[in-house]
Amino acid sequence: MATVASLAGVVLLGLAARAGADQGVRGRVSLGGTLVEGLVVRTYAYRPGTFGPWTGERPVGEARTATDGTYRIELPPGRYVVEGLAKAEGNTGSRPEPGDLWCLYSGSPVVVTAGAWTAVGLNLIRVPEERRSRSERSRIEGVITFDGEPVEKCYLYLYSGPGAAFRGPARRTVPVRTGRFRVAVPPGTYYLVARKRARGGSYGPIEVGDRFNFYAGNPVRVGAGEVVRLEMPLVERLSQLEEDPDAYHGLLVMVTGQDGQPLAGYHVLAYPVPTRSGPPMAVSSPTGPDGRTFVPIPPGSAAYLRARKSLGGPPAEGEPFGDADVAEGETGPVPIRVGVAR
Amino acid sequence: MRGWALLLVGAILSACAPRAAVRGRVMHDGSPLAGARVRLEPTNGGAGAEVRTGPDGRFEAPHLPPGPYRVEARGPGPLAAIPGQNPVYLPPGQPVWIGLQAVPAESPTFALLADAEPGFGSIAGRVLHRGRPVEGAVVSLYADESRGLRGPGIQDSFPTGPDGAYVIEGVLAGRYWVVARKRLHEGGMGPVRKGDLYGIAPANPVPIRDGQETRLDIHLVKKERDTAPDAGSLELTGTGVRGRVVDPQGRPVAGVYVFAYRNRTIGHGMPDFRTLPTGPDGRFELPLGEGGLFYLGGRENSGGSPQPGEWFGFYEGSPDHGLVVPRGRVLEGVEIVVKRVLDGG
Repeated sequence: MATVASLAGVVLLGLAARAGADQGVRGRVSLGGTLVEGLVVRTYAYRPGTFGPWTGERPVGEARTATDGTYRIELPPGRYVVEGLAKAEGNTGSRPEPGDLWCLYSGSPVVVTAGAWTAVGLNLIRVPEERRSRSERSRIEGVITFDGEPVEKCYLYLYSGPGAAFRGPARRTVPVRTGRFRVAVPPGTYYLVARKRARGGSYGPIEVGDRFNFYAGNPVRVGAGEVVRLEMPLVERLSQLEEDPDAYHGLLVMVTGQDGQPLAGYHVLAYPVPTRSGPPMAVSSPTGPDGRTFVPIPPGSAAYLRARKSLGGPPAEGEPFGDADVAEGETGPVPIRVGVAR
Repeated sequence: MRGWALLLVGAILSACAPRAAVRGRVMHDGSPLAGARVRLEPTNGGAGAEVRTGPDGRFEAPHLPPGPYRVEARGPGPLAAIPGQNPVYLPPGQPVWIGLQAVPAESPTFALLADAEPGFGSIAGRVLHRGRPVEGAVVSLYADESRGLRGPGIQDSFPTGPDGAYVIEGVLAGRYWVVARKRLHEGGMGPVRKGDLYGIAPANPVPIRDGQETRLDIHLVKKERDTAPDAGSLELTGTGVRGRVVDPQGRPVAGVYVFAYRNRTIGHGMPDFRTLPTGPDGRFELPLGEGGLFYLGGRENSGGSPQPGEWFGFYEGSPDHGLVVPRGRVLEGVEIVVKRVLDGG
């Protein structure tokens, strides 16, 4: 009887949650441009120091992709790590195995706010083999690829743990010139991330057109005298938000002159760092005659904004621009007053 | 006759021109080192000077033209001393003190690698302090020394283990400046501070050969005192900025260093100039070399992107945070307002 009551409670709670939920993540899943049906997408609640399946978190949401590769997971407001996995025939493990299709969303953790859907498109890879052998030195070596070819002039990052979701300095950053790398490492556990920024360089957020991936076999455990040989296929970061008329459009910003009059034709760039240097997280379309535009950043996320007319490089001599800081949870509209650079 | 008079006037003027001077001492394992050759090479060109240390390890080089000098000591025998900061700025007036610590001047050896990728080699060895292995030291490779061997290398080792052994594999064949550091403070970034260990390989630049492993031990010395970056530069050129770091309420903020970039893209790479962290009064003194347009700010930490909770702020006297400081002028009363960095989660 008690069991029946509990089950009823669970069902009622579930119904209540469903009735009340009007937010979550949704998007499309593809492998090299081909939409993938039947893949399982899971979401994991994020808190600093964790990173979904890699730190043993339990999924809080799950869905299978439909025929058109779309999925939709209702979630309470919060931050989430999003992973997609389709097991190859004969593979039975819960984690990615060679031949599986896999993606851990590079923008994780994504932010879900009340009443808004966060678009998360997953760009899959087929998981390659990993081999282990013995040597005098412990080592991780292998190749970073894109479309099956080694990627020149990229960077491999070795983290000891997720830290701030693999943002900020890695334990070691390795420049990779030819796509092949060889890193002597102390025995231990490593999380591998590879990035190739279109603008070059070893730091800054990943933007549209950059190539990126986590290693599917993270975390990599390297024993004393063990050599781990692996391949890291990269994917290209596509538009952060998919075409979706109902989707959250971004943070509303109003750009004015020093006199408070609206200014048209200004882009608003959102940076993760107060220096407002490096590639921005997002760039708005130009402001209209009313000085308004939307910056496509996840709702409620903190950002350092800069409004300017030109794109690329620092503001030029005499170029007008304006800055504003946005705290986490702030929903806007955000006013930006523009002044003139020297 | 007129020519002779001009020459004479020139000679008198030259003799009267303000001169710089150096005093210092070379130590080895805590004892004065006699007979070391101390070389002072002006980085702006011109003739250098070489002096020898006396029985008490002391040396003196008076009557030098003011300017930046690259300093190192060699000998006697296989010993060498390279200061942590080069060049050393010698302003006119009071002699500048340079303390040097000699270490064994190791030469690299080479071994064939069995399966290296063509065009690449590696470097390995031990990091030592007074002959003992140093645990937790990081070895960095630099492609040149133009930026003073500061900041992260183009490749860095993992911290050494208890045996002091380091290895960097997959290094493009070439010549590198090799530096090892063991920092006592958390984070492992930023300038070397008092009590930290550091060593600049006397064999620099060190070759790394295609298909070979360079073997090189690196000897560290202890940083004896905190020195302001580019110390003497402000006096040398009379160019810089003095002011205070304050919070939005105007209260002085301690522990913030002020930085200056020549490039408007603030935050890319190392700053061109920086101060030591501010004290309780928030005051700073920032040398700016030959002057020009600089983009100024202040922050609490070194290296990497500003972190949530960190003090950070720009010079807000202009929209782009830029400030023109002509050569020979020290701008007083510059204020940098810092705020805690937002938590971007």
